[in-house]
Amino acid sequence: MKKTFLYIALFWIVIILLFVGVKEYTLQTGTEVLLKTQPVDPRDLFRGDYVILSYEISSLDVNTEVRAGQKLYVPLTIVDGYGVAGTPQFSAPEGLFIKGESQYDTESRVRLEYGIESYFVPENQGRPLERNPELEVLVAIDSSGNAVIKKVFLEGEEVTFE
Amino acid sequence: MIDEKQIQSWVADKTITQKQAEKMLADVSRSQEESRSNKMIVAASTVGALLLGIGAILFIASNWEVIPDLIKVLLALVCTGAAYYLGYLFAYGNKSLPKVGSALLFLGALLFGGTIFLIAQIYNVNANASILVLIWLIGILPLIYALASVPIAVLGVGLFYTWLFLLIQESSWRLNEVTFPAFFLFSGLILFGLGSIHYAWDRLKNIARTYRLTGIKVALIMLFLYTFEEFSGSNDEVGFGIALFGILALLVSVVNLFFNISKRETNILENASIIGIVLFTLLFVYIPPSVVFVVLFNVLFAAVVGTVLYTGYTNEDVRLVNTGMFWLGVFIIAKYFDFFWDMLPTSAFFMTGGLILVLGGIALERKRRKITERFK
Repeated sequence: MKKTFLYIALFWIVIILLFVGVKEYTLQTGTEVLLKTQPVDPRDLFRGDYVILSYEISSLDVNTEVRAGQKLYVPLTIVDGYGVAGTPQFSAPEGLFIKGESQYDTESRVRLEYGIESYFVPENQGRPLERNPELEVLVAIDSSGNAVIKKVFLEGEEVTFE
Repeated sequence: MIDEKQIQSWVADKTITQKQAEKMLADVSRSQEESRSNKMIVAASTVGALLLGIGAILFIASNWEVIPDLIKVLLALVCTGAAYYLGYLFAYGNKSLPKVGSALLFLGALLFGGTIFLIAQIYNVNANASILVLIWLIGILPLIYALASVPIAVLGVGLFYTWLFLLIQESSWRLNEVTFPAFFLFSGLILFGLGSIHYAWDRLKNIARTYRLTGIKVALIMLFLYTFEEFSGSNDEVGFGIALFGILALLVSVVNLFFNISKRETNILENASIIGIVLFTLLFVYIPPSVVFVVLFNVLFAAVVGTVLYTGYTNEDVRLVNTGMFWLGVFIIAKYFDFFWDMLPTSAFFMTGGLILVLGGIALERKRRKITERFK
């Protein structure tokens, strides 16, 4: 029984290390890209307040049929310091790109989620962010197109909480 | 269960002496006392562990920004490790406080989930991501089977259904009022069948029972929904996914039917009923809607509740009997509202309804007690 408990403990540690490792890999090795956003603030009982982030690159034109749940790869170019999206593709393009998932069936304009749509804030501190839609988010994007939020800026200044 | 009446009858038959009877009565009384005490300890420890776990999760939810992220994760890991280690020590190491140890292990399982969500928060992983719940579930699965722990199995089943709900929300599956109950009905029947298969290992019989009971309850909720016209709408967009799920439920039932792994008298009745329910539901989901199905689902639901009661009675299973009685009561009340709301004047509706509720409730409760008394 002692060995069983030991193996389960090791299993838990491996799970946690893998989880942290995957995210840290993206943060440490990813390319930094600044994105413009439009936030809304709900409350999540299990994980505190968080702001829902919607980006300028969240809604894009496509010229082909896209099914809900389909993975799309959006090429990014840096214009005036901001990440600007190209036309979404079904396979990873050369250069910088971000991976997203289509939310609806469409043939004209696709709504994509990139896994960076939540930003956690202390209790009841989401409102100021909600009321100022000029949020900018610095994300790290790794070579597979996975993105993690690094920093959030409001009117040019980094958002921090005391 | 031996009682005083039985013991006195043995004395009267001269099977045992009065002195032996007194000793037996004292032993029975002590055993009942111990059982009551054990149940209280388990209940108190489990509730205590649950409150601690909820407190820990809410603590994390308050976004305690003062502490650096790394320290927060370390704190969560230390708390999880401490609960886990102490639980092992008390329950399996020195075995000094087995009930408290089990409760601490349950707490450890909760704190593991808290740690996962804390890390997700630190990296701003999308809220309501089903993957987080899945990771939590995968993490505690070995614990469920290593300890054959019912509280952790209940947590596991809760996480399983939470994961399913979140997955449906995130995915491209379009479940409507027809396919949503079918999906969860089949999931409940699959869980029931998997529970039956768990009887193949004697040490997992409590897990088997947990899965079976939960499966029955989920299936009953979904069947109950189908007794209402609101859940008999259009089925234009039904893909093949629901059928696959139904086929899986059929397969599990067929295995249980032929191998009778649970070794129950009611095995044929249980699994034949499940096969019938699955086939009927698949027919309902894939052919054009008709009001006939609503009527037939009402008949089916009544039959299933009757089967649950019969199975509970035959296997002397108090919880099954209680489940059957509960749903019988709910069904009667719901159909009373459904049929008579528009037909009767409001005052007559409430007075008649109140009378039926009081008299019916008394009758059902008496019947339930009679049945459960027979099991003692």
